[in-house]
Amino acid sequence: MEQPGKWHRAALLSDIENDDVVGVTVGEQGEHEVAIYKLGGKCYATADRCTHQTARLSDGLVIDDFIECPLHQGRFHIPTGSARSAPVSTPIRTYPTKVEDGVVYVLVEDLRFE
Amino acid sequence: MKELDELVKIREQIIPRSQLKRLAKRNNYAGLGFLAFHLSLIAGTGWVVHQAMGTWWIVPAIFLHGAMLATLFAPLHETSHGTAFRTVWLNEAVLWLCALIYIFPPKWFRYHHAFHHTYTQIRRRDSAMVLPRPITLMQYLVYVSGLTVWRRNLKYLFSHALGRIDPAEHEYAPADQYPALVREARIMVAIYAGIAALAVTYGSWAPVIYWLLPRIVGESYARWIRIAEHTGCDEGSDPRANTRTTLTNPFIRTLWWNMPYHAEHHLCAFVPFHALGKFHEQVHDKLAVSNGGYLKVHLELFRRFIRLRHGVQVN
Repeated sequence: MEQPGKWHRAALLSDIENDDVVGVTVGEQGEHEVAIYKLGGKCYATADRCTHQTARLSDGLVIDDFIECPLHQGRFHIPTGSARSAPVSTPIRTYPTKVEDGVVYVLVEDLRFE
Repeated sequence: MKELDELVKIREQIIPRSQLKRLAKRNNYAGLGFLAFHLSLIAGTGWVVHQAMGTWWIVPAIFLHGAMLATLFAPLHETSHGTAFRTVWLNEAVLWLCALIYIFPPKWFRYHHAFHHTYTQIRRRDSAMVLPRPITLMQYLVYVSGLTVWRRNLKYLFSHALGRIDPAEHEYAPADQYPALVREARIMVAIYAGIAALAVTYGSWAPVIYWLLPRIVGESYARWIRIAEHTGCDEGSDPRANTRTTLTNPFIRTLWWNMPYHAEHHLCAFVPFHALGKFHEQVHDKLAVSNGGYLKVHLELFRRFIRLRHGVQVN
């Protein structure tokens, strides 16, 4: 089944170090803040704002397959977005990704669909 | 969030992310080394208490042992950030061990402390603001006695155990975590009740002599160290001015898990304690640093009390 939303060009794969994260904005107006991760050569995407106090997760640290918030060190599981350690308890949104010709795309629903 | 955006902007001006990433690398070895050193000292001062039993030396021995127990705040603090160890379960296990000895609910502390990091030195927002200006000698003495801290911690421990969450806590702990706060308090109270029951059964005063009494009198030492972290610094969200690093000797620094590098810690809390020295070398000229040790910080506070007493406006 086709997923709702639109594939957005997010980053060059070569701009993301392995086991690291970059923050991008996508959408018609740049309205979606997305964190793009490269773990073991595979790309993942999540919302870039922590659900605890809105710190930018792309400023944080990737530890194994977790992203640690730079402000209070709460951790989210990158592939699923689940909250794993206090003070975070609400999961972050995840987005499907694909890589074509060295470009990372994320599937983001347009705001009118939300 | 205004405070947060400002912190990030200032941090980016001071140090690039690539450098921070290198500093932020976690390992288990440093934490295990510090913990072994720490627990050995506590065992050592416990032995001193044992040797001093039945003599007047018991008084200083209890204070010394209490001071060592009070320094457990340092690993409690570091593990609450999740930065003491790379392995999560090890971090959580040490957090619980320290919290039990320190008598400080760990999850509650995590939320409370997180709020302090967001609103450092912002009056009526900072959950751990020690003494807002102007401070008086009496306020200083009451704080250093540790009495207010005991009152607060025990109030939260027992009210949580009874299933009550203070409305003031709603600001920093999300509602879906209230059951976890109640559960942890009940576990702690049950463990303490178990220790008390064993002590009564066997007619032993050991928990009082080696733990409770030293813990109560030793809290002053923790307060004395902690007062240097922010008191007298600017009230505002600029981490270059609202937090103080106190340069001290390597023994005190080790005992406090490098927490004296406090301005660095507040600038970037995901840098683990063992990298704070290196972090300090890279950014110290941009932060508030007191280079005369803790005594100098406290003497400066006393100078303020005297000026205040004589009606001089103190900032």
